Amino acid sequence: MTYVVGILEFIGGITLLLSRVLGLLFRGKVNAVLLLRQMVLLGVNSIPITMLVLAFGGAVFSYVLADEMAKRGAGSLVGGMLLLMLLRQIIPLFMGTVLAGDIGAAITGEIGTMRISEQIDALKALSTNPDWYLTLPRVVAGVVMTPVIAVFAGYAGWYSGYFVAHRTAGMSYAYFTTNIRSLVDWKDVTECFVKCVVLGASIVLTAVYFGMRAKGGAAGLARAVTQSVVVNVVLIYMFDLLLTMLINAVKG
Amino acid sequence: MIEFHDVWARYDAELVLKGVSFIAQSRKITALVGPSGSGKSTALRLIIGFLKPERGNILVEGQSVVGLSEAGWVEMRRKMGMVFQSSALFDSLTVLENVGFYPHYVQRQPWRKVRGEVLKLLAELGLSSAANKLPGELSGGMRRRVALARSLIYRPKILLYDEPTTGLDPQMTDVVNDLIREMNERFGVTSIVVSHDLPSISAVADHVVLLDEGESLEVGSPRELLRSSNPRLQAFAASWREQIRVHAAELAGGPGMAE
Repeated sequence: MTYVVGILEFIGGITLLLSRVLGLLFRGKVNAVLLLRQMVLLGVNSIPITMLVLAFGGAVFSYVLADEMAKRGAGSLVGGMLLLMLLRQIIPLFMGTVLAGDIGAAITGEIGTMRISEQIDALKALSTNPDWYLTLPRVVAGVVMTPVIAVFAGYAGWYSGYFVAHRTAGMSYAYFTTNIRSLVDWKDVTECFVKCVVLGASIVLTAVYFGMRAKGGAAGLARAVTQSVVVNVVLIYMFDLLLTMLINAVKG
Repeated sequence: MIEFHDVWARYDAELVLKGVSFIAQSRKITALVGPSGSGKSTALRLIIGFLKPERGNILVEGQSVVGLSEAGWVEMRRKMGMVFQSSALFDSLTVLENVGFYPHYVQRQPWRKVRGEVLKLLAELGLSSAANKLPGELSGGMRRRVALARSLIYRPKILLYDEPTTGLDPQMTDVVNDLIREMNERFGVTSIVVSHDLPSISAVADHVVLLDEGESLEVGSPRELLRSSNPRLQAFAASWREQIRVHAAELAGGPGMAE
């Protein structure tokens, strides 16, 4: 029963938070300096770790694909299938999980500390809307920068996948990329972009939600960060499934 | 002027204030004193709108703030400043950025202009050398002064102090008390100071309100409290006299002080 109440509270809380953020956004309240700062902190600083993880992800998928496809004389499909998997699943899921632990935990930790040390109250006392100062720049930065991170991460996964295919199955780049155009099109790129935008917003909103509710000192903060990461990871996989089904239905 | 009329309030589901009534006169320093858990900080949080009362009315400069909308509170808080017990400085911003926060982000003044005003105020408070430091690099007393500067920069009409001298050494306590008095005298600010530091209250307060078990007893000056024949006030005054005596002995380097 506690879990059910918690889930309902979360859904209600996130909905209210999102509506407040959208209200500020549509009234043109984004502060450029605050936004730029968050784009660097959340976006630029996350690129290296995400590229590293996607490099491993691309490598392992390519390793399995190259081996199996080569045995069946279908080695020329490896590159195309890797790119398809990268765009549709590997980038959103792997990148999302990294960002949940990287920026999600950082946001919850920072805002949770501010909540516990009365800095949020201090913002209100200074006639400053905490959603305007804290939430809005982070959400917009998350939405804008997640697709940018995905581009870098995608390249890392792709070239690492090619490297593995070349080393294990002796594939040339030309051979590796033979069937890309027949397997991948712009709809797949669009699917990746849509997922990145949704995940970017979801990760930041969830992180802010748990940060704002932190209480009880260091233990309470640790609990908030853990909940933020766990819930974010669950939501990433849930949104990925829902969006995949929705986009496939639209594609027809 | 700030008026409490039969205010009842809860904090974390516990009934903390039970029919509290008092008046904090304009341009005076009113102290809310009382034992821990008596509702002093709750009263401050009600004045600034972080809590809503269950019953009763609170007037700030003649305007009722009970039932004020969030937009109304944004406007009302422009007249107020609050110095938190923990100072509540923004720990990712420097001292300069903390103090310049309101004029830059709320009043939207350009940073070049704000910087000059902030540096001037920091110099008055003896904080020039700390301008580019982060709050984590400051002592407790410096953090309190920065918190005070952050509220003073926009000249509020009302200043709320939550335990401003808690955790400070006697010397820094006197510095902060002098600042509170100076702000009141120089800018005519209506001040409410929550404290259980009774020697400090003696030094700064014009008027004292005792909160005890959620109820209020409006007293008068610190001197009147110490001379009262009311048994509740006498019990409180006895502990106050003892604290004053110990504090005076410490300052004079009396018995028990290390050489």
